[in-house]
Amino acid sequence: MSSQSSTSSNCGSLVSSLLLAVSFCGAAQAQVAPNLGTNSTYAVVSSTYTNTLNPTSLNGTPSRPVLCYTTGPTVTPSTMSGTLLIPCPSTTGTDRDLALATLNSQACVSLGPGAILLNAVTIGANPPGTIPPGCYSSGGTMDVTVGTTVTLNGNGVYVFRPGGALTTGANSRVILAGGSCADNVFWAPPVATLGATTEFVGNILVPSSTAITMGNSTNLLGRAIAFGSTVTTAAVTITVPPVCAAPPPVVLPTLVKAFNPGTITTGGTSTLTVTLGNANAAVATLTAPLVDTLPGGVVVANTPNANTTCGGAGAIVAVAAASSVTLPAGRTIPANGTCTLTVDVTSALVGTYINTLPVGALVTSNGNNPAPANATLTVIAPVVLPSLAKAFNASSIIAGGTSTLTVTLGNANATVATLTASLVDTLPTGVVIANAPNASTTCGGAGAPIAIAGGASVTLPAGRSIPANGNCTLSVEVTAAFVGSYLNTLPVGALMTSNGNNPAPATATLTVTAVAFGFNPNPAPTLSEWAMIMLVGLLAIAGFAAIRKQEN
Amino acid sequence: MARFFILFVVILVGLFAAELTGPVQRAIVLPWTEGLARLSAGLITPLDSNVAASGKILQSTTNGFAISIEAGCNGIEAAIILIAAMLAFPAPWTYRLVGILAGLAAVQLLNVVRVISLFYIGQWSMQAFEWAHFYVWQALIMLDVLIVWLIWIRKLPRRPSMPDVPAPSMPAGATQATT
Repeated sequence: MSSQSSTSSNCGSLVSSLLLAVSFCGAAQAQVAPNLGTNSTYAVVSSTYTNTLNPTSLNGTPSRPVLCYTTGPTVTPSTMSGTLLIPCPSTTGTDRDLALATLNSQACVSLGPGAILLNAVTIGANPPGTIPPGCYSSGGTMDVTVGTTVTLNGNGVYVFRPGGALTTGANSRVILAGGSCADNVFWAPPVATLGATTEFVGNILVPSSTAITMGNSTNLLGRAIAFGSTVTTAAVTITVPPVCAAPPPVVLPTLVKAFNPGTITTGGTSTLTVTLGNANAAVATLTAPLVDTLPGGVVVANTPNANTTCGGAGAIVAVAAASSVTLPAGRTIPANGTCTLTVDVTSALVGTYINTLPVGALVTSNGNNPAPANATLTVIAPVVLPSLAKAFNASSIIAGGTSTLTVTLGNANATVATLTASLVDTLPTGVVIANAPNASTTCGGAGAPIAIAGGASVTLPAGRSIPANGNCTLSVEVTAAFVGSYLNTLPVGALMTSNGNNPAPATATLTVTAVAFGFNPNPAPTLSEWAMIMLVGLLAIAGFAAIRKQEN
Repeated sequence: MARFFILFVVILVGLFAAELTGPVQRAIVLPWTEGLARLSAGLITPLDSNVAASGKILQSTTNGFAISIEAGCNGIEAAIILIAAMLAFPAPWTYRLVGILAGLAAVQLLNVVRVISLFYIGQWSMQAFEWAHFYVWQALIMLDVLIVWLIWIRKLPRRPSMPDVPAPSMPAGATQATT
């Protein structure tokens, strides 16, 4: 017994020193619990069963086989609930082989090419040593370090398929949590050694001509099935686990995709969002890259802005001007949640583009998407926003005079621009519609311009239209009573049309001057040129007369 | 007489030329014009509160009618003619100074009356405004200057008469005869 304990401990230390901890960001493939057949009632199935020390307790179902062997132990287990069969029925070997075939046929996620420390492995967002349901393989041994714990967390089937031995260190534990069930845990190593005082769960199935060795005081809730091989125990307790409730059905993952905005102009960008859904308690890991091939004419934008909220590692493949975007394998969809893949796309050609991810495009550990995902991107020719201009003619009037205000509406598109709201030009304070408004428009459509004498605004009603690649005008007579400079502005967005709104304001200034009676604008001086000449003459004549009179 | 005429024309041209230069415009003409507008507004406002004055503009706040006193409306040209005549005429400097000051006052006072009257005539009738502006007030200004000129001449002290033509020279033949 001490020898076994020492051996196990040494093995654990050796493994600990040699093995590297592995962090695996993912969950295992969908897994299936094999049918153990006639092995299901046994605690131990072996060719040679060696029990070196009591108390050893094999707990099965009374009157049902719990132990079988060809060569028996020198120390008979002190407690045995169930019957003993010598030798093991051949069906136990057949059923073991079938079960192993089932286990070995399942696609597992490799935890690494070499030896793996299960107590240090990190899967998804779980802490190290906590493992969700799944099928896990390794190229080398699977080990549990001395004194550490591995937690099998979650309701589901667990399959562990190491390429080397399964070894647990002394005082280590493999325990159940979160609804996991020992009858759904399967270990299929070439050989297994459980260290002294190990607490372990699950069914250990080894091929013929190998061995399962359990150290002193080991407690196994499970089975040691080693038809044609050796099982060695020493004061252990093996309890055949009860049948588990059926695990919840796996819900296949979903895919949804959308373009935002759904309509762009040529050369514009739209964000393609692919939403990956997972309605299972177990994380879904992509076991193959998710490749979204864009429709012809649509490519990844020059600045892809590729991003994902999915877990795991692996860079998104989204190259500028490329025709596809890829979410690499190993990325994960959270349990009962969604994650997204986003990338900016563009198109230089007008058209309607349907982007499809077909059935089976999303391959995960929880299955593949059963329905396609479609999104439509509409690419239109760019729209030139309408323009506004305005002017007063004359731009300068005397107080009380009139000027013609002309608003010019421009449309540089091949389609007519129809006013979707009335164009209201509110005149600046002090300027009003003249007594004879003479309001008129050259714009198409119906609806008379609204301009009331003395009013402060002129309105071109909605429904009027600006011709394609042309312009039209709205004119009205205005007046101002007081001297001043009046700035009339139509702000951004004042013109609302089916081709958009004016992006720039339109302004015009009306200058109102006083009645001039100087040189400008009409020559009307105190004395005109002729009046001055006449005055000069009169003064000269009077001067001559005075001089002559003085001289006389 | 010829001296008076030549001096009159030379001084007249000189003063008008000076008036048109930028420095004189900035230093004298424009400030004078704005001062005339302010004076006119100042005279009107106590009697008519519906008048607003801004710079060289007078405007009615009731009907918006406004007049702007522009260059040429300030009476400076009429004053220049009168000043040139007084400087050219043979007279003592004291009389010239008094005459120029009195003439300036007469012309400018009448011009203020002209501005105010046109402001109200314009509100009454633009046709009457144009008629008064172009005909009546030009004649009145001319008459004003002429009256000042005549009064000034009349007030001048008499001076001893001087021959207008120098004494004729001796004929060459007579000299020879004398000799």
